[in-house]
Amino acid sequence: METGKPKNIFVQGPVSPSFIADSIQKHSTKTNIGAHSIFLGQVRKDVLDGKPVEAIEYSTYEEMALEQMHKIREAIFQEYQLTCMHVYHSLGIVKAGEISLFVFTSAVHRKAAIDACEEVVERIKKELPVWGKELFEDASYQWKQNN
Amino acid sequence: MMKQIKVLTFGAITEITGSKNFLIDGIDSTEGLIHLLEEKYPLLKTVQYAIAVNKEVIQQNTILNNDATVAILPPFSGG
Repeated sequence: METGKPKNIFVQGPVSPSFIADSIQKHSTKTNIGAHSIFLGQVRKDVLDGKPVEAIEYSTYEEMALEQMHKIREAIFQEYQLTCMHVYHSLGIVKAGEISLFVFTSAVHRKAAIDACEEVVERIKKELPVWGKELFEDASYQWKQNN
Repeated sequence: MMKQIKVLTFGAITEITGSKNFLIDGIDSTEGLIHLLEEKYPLLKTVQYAIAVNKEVIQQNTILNNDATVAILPPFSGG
């Protein structure tokens, strides 16, 4: 059910808290699920050279990112006993304090859900061709670096 | 027939090349392409990047077929 063609994971702008709530609600019919694990990435107001980050503008190499995400998805389903998995990543401008990444894994038991969620987040940061441009108030910017 | 390849750039790399995508003729390998690009855009030598050929990141010199798409990718910073 979770295999097949690459799914789109990108959304324009921030991921809204109500969208996240709706996603949780939709799983109430899947009564074999006993555990959800959710990761939310929030844009942090880092201060760089005395200037606070106001927002991050995300861009991607979409075709490659979706193929890569598909491979990650297949590998995760091979490795963990998951019921389902959903990933949403922002493109365009996301202000400090808003959500730019939403990873949601569900399983019969908690361990698979938690471990899979963590691995997906790590792989997204390392393997997806996505770039964040940190925008400052004075219209200057800096390309973000992942730690 | 002379080979033509498509080059895509992203993020900080686009700022160096000034263009998001362009065509290059007569190049046979990724090494040849990098040599040419670094000559044309010396700033490329000062930054980190990875190369993807037809959406696959490569680790070593790769032969380019006609119509190959080569992407120059700055370090990823999603999430």
